[in-house]
Amino acid sequence: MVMDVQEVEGLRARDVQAFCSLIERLQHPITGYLHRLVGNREVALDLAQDTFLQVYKEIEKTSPDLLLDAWIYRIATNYGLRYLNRRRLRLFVGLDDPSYPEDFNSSLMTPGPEGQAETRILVHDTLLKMKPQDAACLHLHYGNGFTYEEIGHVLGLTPDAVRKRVARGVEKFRALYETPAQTSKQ
Amino acid sequence: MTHPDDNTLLTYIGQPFPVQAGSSVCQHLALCEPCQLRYGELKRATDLLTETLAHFEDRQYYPPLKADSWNPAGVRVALEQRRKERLREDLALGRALLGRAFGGAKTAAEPRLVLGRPRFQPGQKETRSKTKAWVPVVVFPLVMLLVLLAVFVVMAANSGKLQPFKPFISATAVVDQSLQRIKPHAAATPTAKPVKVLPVTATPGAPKPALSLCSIQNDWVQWRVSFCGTNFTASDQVQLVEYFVDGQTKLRRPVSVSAQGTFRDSWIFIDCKMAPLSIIAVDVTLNHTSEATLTMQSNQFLNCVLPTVTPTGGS
Repeated sequence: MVMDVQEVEGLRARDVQAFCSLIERLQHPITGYLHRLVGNREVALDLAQDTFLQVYKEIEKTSPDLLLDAWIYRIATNYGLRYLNRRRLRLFVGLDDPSYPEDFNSSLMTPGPEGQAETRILVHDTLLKMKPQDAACLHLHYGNGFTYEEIGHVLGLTPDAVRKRVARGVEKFRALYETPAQTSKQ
Repeated sequence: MTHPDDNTLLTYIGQPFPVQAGSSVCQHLALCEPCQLRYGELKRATDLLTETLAHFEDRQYYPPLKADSWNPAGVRVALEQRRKERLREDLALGRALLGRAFGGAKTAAEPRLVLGRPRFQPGQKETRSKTKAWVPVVVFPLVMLLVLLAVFVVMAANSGKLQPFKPFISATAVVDQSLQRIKPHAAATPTAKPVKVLPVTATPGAPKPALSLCSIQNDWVQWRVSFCGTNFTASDQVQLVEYFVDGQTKLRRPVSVSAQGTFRDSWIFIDCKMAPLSIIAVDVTLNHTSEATLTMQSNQFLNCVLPTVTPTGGS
């Protein structure tokens, strides 16, 4: 995650070319991150578009020494968490079906060694069951390869707090992952 | 060395470690079996996460966002469209939340609002006593009656035409409020002596002599009382016999009768002891026996307590 002053300046000047290069560079990882976070491809595409629209709208209010990627991931995370909160409410009032869309699981059913697809589905189900803030930490660290400091910039936390949150998240993931596995073995 | 915590182990797994710390952790891990197990558990979990998330990322394809829409007008339109969509979603969510909240309350409150309906439902057992089931039917008119009664009492009290009923007020409270200022006097509570009535020998057919109270004035210092007599015989000798409130004293005052057969006699007194209880006008002329009696009322002397006697006519 490098601070690119020129890129930020181009974006602040509403340069179309700068935006096109930004989208080309970040659309896939941002959409993938949101897809993993919310578990729905179409929603992830919508949220990614919202994220870049928000970047376009708010970029001129930022300072030139902006950590651009961290800022954009923070916007995406906020959109993702907001969607998950709304989804929880919609589930509560019965507006949504509690099951996740088929495309999420089917995308994990790729050819490979026997049992791997099932494991991947189980991992994603476990991540979706976790607290969204902890899951976001794990996605950013193990999915996007962000360091604790970079995650701190995204989530507005200190690196030490991120370290603790990741450790807590891994422990919760282990507990949740092993519980259904033990049940299925029995 | 103490056992490294999960944070340290995860850091050691995830990224390059400082040499000194890494070496100490490595030395500990080489010797400590529980830490090796813990390290293995954490590494399996993180490897699983890393592998699965990387695999997922590699297999996905997302259509690129349109490059030509990144201009102020296009972004404004897209933002407006998204704002409306979110507003619609929020409205639907709010409506659903309200429906859920009020729907639950409605079903809970419905049986309470319907008075007179038996409290048991078809699926439940019938109540043991049917009287209990009809309690709401009886209570409803009673409550309405009490409410109407309360409204009537409040309206009557406010209008001032109807006085509230006071059942335990003693008879002394009915006395005129001005009399309550009178101080009780030891000598002012005699029993009225019956006035001696002399036999009347008036001329048949002539009007009977009469005695009346013409005027009474009180200036808080003294009393001025005037008595008037009528229908007496001119030039007769008439005396006014006045009995006082103490019942003991009496005073005779001669008055002169005018040619019209009338007289007027004024009297001033400053003490309640001198307040007249009854006055008798007696014709003391020889061969005349007519007289007239006047009994004073208890409320004619404001500052004196006078015994209440029934007025009697005189002849």
